[in-house]
Amino acid sequence: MEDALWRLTQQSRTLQDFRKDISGVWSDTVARELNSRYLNPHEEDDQEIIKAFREQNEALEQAKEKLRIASEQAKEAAELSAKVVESLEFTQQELNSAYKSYDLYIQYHAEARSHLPLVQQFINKANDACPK
Amino acid sequence: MTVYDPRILSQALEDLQEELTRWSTIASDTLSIAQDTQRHAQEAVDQTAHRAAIVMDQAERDQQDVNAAADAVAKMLDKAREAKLVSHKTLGEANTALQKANSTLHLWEVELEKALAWLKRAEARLAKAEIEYDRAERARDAARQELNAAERSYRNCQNDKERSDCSSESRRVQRAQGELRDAEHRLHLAYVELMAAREEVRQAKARVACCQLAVSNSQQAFVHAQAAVQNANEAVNAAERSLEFVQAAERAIRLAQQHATTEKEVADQMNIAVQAATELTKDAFHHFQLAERTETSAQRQSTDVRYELTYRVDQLRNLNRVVSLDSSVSSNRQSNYSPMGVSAVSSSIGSGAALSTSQPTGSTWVDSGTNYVPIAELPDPQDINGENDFKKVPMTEMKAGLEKLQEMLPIVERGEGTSKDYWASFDTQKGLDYEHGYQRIYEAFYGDDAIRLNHNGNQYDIVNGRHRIWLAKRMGITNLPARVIEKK
Repeated sequence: MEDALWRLTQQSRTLQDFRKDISGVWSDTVARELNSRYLNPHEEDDQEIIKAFREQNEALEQAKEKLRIASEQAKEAAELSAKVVESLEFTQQELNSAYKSYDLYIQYHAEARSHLPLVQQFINKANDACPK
Repeated sequence: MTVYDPRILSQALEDLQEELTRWSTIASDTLSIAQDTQRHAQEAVDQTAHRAAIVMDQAERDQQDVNAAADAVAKMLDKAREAKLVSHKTLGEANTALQKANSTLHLWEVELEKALAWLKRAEARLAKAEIEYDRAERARDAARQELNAAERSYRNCQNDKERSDCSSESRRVQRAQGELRDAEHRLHLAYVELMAAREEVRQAKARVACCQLAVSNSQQAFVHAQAAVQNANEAVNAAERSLEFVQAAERAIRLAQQHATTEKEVADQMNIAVQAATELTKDAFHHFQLAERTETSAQRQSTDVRYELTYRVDQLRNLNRVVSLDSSVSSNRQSNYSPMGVSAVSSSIGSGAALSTSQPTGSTWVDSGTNYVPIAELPDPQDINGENDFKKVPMTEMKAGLEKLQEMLPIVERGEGTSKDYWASFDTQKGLDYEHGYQRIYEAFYGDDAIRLNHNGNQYDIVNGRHRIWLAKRMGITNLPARVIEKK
């Protein structure tokens, strides 16, 4: 778009230069009338068009920069998401190991607890077997 | 009145036309490129906004996943810590039980040893008692045989007539009797000892048996206590391993939380960037719309001025021919005009006749301002046949504009709506934007783009506004405001 805008600006300049040149050979009332009715408004419009296109272009360039930043942020977010997934996987692995060990704990602990009353029972039986 | 060289001026005006044509082409191309650029930018913004929504959704889902995992880790952490405490407590109980079982076993092993020693002693006593008893029994039997022999000897003596004195046999009998009583007494004592020894052996054996049972039970208690300690140790190890794993999980989930938080922040920043890009693209679109509107106006001016220039160039060419012809016919007339010149009389402001050649009649064009011209008196533009010929402004849009104009005319005629500011304020009150408002219509009919007519005698020539006139005729509109240049 910048190239097109440059061409338009150049052509506008050429046109205005040409008008200046032509004013040297034609500057009567009719020329002034044509200028005031058509060419001057055309020049004003032309400048306004260039200004508007330039502002459009600047806004779009700024938007493009914002989109570039957004794109980088999307990439950064994707990388962070991958790290989150990786950390979650590691967390899950460790949790699974923790669950397994905990299950073993439950098993061994229950086994240990089951022996304790038998110990007392047999001690009582031993002590009851004959007088001391 | 000024005089120019018509050939030079003609060439200059043609060059100006060319430059304007080139400008029109470039402006049109630029508009097209700007439109494409705007569209591409909008597409890029839409795509990035869609992507931002996906990123935000992912970030939120990651946060949810992380929170769910963090909850699971926290619960497991509590359980693992509790397991460690409980397992250590159980290990303590098991060790206490093992000590108790061990001391009980030791106690009964000592008791068993004592019982076995007692049994050994009792058995030795019994063996001795049995020997003593056998000996006493044999001594009694010997005493009994001696008594029998003594009694037989005494009876033989008594039966022997030859013997009168059997006192020695009698003493032997008495002695034998006494020895027998002693032997029987000793046998009795041996028997009592034997019975006592046997009872002691029985009691010792009973003690040994019960001690053996106690030891056996103690051993069972010891085995169970050992098993309890072993299992409690395993439980402690398992609980500690579980705690270590869950602590590692906790570190990992903290890292995941940090990443997820940063990810959400980045997603928020991305949304802000996309919103900024959206706003900037909207701004750009407004600039584009302004450029487009202005470009339309400028193109119209460019077309009109080229049309005017064509008209002027034709006039200059004709004049040049006339001047050349005249110069060849009459040198006297040539003296009234420059040899290649044209006389410009610029008393009018009407564009259609802005430049008039100096003609024999000496007539001039005078701007009579805005008039309400009867449509019926205007020529029907021949080059317009229908909707397809409406290029700059679509026919439906122009029709709507003419309808609005009919609403506006009474207000303008009353002298109220005679400025564009009035209609700008009117649009604001009605909540209309420029594109759909009345200000635009006012500018179109009373501003630079007004219908312009050249009026020469009874004939009108349309300089500008042919489409509006063509459409007004078909809508049955009777009068339109137009800038009229009168030929005087």
